[in-house]
Amino acid sequence: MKDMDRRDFLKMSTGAATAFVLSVEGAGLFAQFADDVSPVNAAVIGAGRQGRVIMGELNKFPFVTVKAVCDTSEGRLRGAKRRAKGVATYPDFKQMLDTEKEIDAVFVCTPSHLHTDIAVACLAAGKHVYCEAPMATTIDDCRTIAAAAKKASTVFHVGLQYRSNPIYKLAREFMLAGSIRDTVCVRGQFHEKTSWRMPATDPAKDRALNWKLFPDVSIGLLGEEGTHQFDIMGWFLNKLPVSVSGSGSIRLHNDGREMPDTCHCNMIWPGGLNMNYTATLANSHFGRFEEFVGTMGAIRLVGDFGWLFKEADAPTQGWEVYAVRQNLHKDQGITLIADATKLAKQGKLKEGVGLPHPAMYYGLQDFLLSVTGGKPSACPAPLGLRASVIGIKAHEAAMSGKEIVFEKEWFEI
Amino acid sequence: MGTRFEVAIPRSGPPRGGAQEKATLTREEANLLACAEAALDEITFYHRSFNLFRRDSFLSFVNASAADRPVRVDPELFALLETCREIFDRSGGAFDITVGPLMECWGFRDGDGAIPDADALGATRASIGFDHVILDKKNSTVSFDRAGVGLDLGGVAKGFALDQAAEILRDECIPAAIIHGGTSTVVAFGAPPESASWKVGIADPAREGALLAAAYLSESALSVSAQHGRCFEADGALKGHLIDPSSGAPAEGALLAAVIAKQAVLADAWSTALVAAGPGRFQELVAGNDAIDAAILFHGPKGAECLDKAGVDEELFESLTDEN
Repeated sequence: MKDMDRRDFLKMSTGAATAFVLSVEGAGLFAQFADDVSPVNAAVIGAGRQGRVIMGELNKFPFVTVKAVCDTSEGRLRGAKRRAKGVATYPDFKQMLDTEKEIDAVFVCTPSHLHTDIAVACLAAGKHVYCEAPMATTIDDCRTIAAAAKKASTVFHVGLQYRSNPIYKLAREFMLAGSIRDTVCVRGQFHEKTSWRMPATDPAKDRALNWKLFPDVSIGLLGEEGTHQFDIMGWFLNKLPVSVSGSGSIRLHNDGREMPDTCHCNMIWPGGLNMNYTATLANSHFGRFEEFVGTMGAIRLVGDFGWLFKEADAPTQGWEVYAVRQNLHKDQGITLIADATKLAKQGKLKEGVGLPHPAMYYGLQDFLLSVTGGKPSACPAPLGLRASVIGIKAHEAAMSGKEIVFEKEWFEI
Repeated sequence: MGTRFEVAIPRSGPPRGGAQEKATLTREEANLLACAEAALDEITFYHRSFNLFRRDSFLSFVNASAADRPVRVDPELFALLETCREIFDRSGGAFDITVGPLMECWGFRDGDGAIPDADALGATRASIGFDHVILDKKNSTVSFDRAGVGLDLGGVAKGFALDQAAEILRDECIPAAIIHGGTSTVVAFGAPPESASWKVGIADPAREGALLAAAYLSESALSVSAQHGRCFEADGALKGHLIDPSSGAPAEGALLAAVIAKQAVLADAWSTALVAAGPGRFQELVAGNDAIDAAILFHGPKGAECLDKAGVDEELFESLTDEN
């Protein structure tokens, strides 16, 4: 589903303009900030891919000004100047904190194993902190961050962005309302054909940029990507997993790396519920998705799209007659549309397919709502700890080939 | 993504024989692959940002919001919009990134076009023109002075993205590479082995399988804008997707324009402008234009074929037709 062509997608959809679908009030599709919202001065630590995306989305919040960017790479700092007007650049985040006293919020987008010191220092400096997920790469580091966040009076938000995604929130409501009835199994995948390697000719630069390939610091595909998706599963199921087993191998990128480019894991959830997950850098087929399969239907989620596939013997709700649908193979899915009721009344239901903003936007929006409006963090540190532990242990299971049973204490601060 | 982008980097050393798929890459090869991926990732980044077919693209956000309030854009996008403004002025309005609503009106957004309803066309034309776009440099914002205005970077986006991708390769000290976006835009630097420059063929729109001309590129870019890609026939004439902003209708007279420039963004914009402006303004727009190294304009249809050449260095184009 990666980069689905929207023209083809819309051509495949049918359905009248008037319809309504379960919609979540406060789904955050068009959250309003107060007219007199206080300005937020921001700093971004880590100007790589994620930092760049975040800076782009922050442009959409007029009350936010990115004042400073930190990165150890001069090239990335030069690039950062193209992302935010008049931004000050620093090679060292401590120097930035000492110099830029007016910073209110910090976005931590460095390699995952470097989050801890930075997040803790920023919290100690009285800053609101948005920290990318996985929160850290060891359970101890996750606990260190969580303890610092608990002590701080500022907002701490982990970048588990799908918890803020209106489509995912809507889908979860469908699931909680029993639309798929009893869960039969859960599936997920992350497929993207790419080497995960950044250009680097000297060893120091190689280690700094290609940290994901170094087993001593990286938690691999299952940690870096799986963390987000396992968190979605735990959120929807409202449970913690029981055990995980897995494997990993190199299927394509035979370039001297040790880190597998393809991993599988099997996670058991309470009640014997089985989750199968594959992550590979060797193939892009169907990209990234999560799927909850139940006795009366299935829900598939693909970033900014979601569908409900109903079983033939599932009861039909009146509104379904007018639902927007799409065919996938031989199944027809009801397209999940955030704010559908409102859009249907305006006769714009089909225009509501997808989301008006990338998934990242909604996570930032929730963070900023907490920073400016005092709302509790939508993704506080305990959630970050929980999600990261699952990813860390899934990676460990795949690398060791041994089944790991989750210990309750791992999830405690 | 409808367009296929490719990066080609000449590799040093003898070619590797045997089954390559399972062979271990050397460090150099792994790094070259990483460079090519980084270049393609850069193109993907801008494609996502400018793609009007994606509801969640940044440009879609600008179009949805800028009539209501100034929208902050990053310095890079602001500079691109300023470049578009300069070319709009220099081309006398032939290159205009506000023509998107007109393209939609003529049915070129989702298909190959059709004659629009006259009232709808008239209403749409009222929102066309870069003069409706307000660029505030101090605040790095863009706004529209009325509803209905929409920015469409289709005339420059590929070129702009290719320029950024080429910069990535140069930053990594790659000595030679060629990057192309489908059959319309190419950027190249250095040269392939045992050559002084990259040679790129331009398809002849009037003769299937034949080449109209060849372009020689080194530290330069080529863009080809042509009407025959998305078009329909009406009243015995070809109506293509490149719109003449002054008439509000598909541009007439020129089937294809190819421009060589130092930057792909300039080649891209000017090839669009030359088709939109038509044969009558070709010499005027190219002569003394510092942005264009060389340009050709192909007139059609059959019976009136002509290939004009102009620019600083016309030798950069080699005509491959019998008539020329």
